[in-house]
Amino acid sequence: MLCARCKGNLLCGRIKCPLLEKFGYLKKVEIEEGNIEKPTPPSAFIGRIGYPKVYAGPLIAVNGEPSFLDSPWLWKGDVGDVIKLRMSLLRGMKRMEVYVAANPDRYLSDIQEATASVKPLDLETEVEKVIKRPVFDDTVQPVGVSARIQGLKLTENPKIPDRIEKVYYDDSRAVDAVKFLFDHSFSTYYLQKIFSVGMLGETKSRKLVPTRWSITAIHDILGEEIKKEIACFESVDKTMLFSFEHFGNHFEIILSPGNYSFQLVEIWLKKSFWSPDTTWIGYDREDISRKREYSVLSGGYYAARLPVLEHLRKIRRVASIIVLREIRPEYYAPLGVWVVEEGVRKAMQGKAEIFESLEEALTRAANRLRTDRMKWEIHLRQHHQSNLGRFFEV
Amino acid sequence: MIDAIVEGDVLKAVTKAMVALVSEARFHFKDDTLHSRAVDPANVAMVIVNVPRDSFEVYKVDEEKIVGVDVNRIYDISKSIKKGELVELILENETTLKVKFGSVEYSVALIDPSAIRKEPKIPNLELPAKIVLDAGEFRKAISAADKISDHVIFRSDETGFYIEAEGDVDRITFHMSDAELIEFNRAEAKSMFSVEYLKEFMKVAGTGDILTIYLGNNYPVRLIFDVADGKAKVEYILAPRIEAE
Repeated sequence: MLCARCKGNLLCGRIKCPLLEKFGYLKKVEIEEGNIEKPTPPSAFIGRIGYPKVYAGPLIAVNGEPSFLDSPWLWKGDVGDVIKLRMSLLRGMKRMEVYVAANPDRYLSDIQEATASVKPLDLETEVEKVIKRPVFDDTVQPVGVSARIQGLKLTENPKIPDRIEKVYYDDSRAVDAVKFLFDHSFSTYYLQKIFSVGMLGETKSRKLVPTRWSITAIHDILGEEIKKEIACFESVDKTMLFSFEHFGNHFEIILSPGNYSFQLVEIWLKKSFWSPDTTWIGYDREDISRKREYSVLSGGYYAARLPVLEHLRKIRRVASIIVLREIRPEYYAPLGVWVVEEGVRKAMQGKAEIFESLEEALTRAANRLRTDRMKWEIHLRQHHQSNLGRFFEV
Repeated sequence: MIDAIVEGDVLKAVTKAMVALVSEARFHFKDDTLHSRAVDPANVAMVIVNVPRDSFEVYKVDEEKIVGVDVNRIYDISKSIKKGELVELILENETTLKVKFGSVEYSVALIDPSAIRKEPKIPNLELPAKIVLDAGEFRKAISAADKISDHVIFRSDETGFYIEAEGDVDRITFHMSDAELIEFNRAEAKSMFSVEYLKEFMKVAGTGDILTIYLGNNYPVRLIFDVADGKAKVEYILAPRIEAE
């Protein structure tokens, strides 16, 4: 099934994705052209079309409570509720070279300050022309209409955390900065935004990073860094099963004794968003060594891995991990990989069911899935990479 | 003060061997050998490198010394050394290593050795099977296996040494009998390994280089390559893949 693999990347050769296009009916929010004074949640959106000349600008809350509009971890309800919510966000667009981040002009440094702000911030934006329909994407959360903007002004002073100031003026590598901030409790969402507007990394090599890429980059960087930290921990001593479901995405997560390995089975049930006609099952895996090739399951893979790694780091253990993600027809529009990140994170925060064996845990998980166990179980790998510490003192 | 002159190929082989697993390493200039060893961040594999004093044209070590090296940098530099050309390594102070060849001289900043992960102990492994073969043959087998699977089985019994890989629909068996192997003790052993690591390791050796394998049962394997005309020894110890409990 091509669509479930491609997720809107036009591998079929069409100019537009027919699955994404069907949301074109969504009504355009009426925005007056000219100066508007509205808050940003804070957030920004960097496009990827035309890279390295991309459209960059703030997200502006036209109505609704601004910070809630950009706080996926708080969202509840169904797919329609999230779409409604996000349609209140206007995406400001101005064409920029990504390299401008090495030496930001006034427009970009205003966006950077606004994005790093800890709370919503009023912006005065010169809207030139409302130009585009809403944005839907498998990685990024939906965004309402887009408007070309001339410029913007911060109408109040943003409050920016000291640690952000520090890494901004430091010349440390992006990987180190991201890890440092994450370890000091900055959320992946916040990190993704400031990474995207080019605030991290060695000054002379800073770039704007398209929102879509920045989300997966943050998940991947943090995942690989945490893997290094937990590599020497001992294994969990029992088999645990965690479960959670939201927005038509059902997760079953099994941690079992053994060396670190991560396996993700992604099941797109017939009539779910990327797979209208048949049920599609995809699979990817890794061991403790760095995952080199980009996952065939794209951004969702890295989004599912990170919360499990966070959990392992917290309990100071490694485990063989199996994540089963079943996507159901209720997921009729793509909402972005936060659905996976938050789904898995909420599962890990729940109470684990304990089992004597992997077999029993799989049986329990299978009972809650709609897909025949035979169909997904064949993908699971029965062996995994060990480490030298198991055999001798390293 | 240290002054050592060696064939460029040796420096290339040694740094290439290290970059397969780490980007920084400690190098020991000992009285009788240049030595380095490290474990990759995932603790899956170890590399041990030795270049005996005899392999150098000149090897003057006033005092034994440990230096921290960005191996990626040195490997990059060594790639531009012509075949057969000599390279001189000079250490006059704690902070810089000079690398001279042809008409160029690089001054490479050294890293404080205490900032590099502590070196592993070299384990004493009891591995029943010993297999000696041409590294070029091994390389061919791993390249073939890589096309269909991410893991391979090494197996030995009295009929010879086998490398086996199984894909979704096809399978590959590489077999060398006692007569085809350079040395073989016909012992029984079997373990499974990740192709991703083996692929990196085999880059250090070419046809004509000798590879000695010590194999056990679901146990780490030792792969010892004699490289650069036998002037340097590169050993990898790789943890196996094992069945889920």
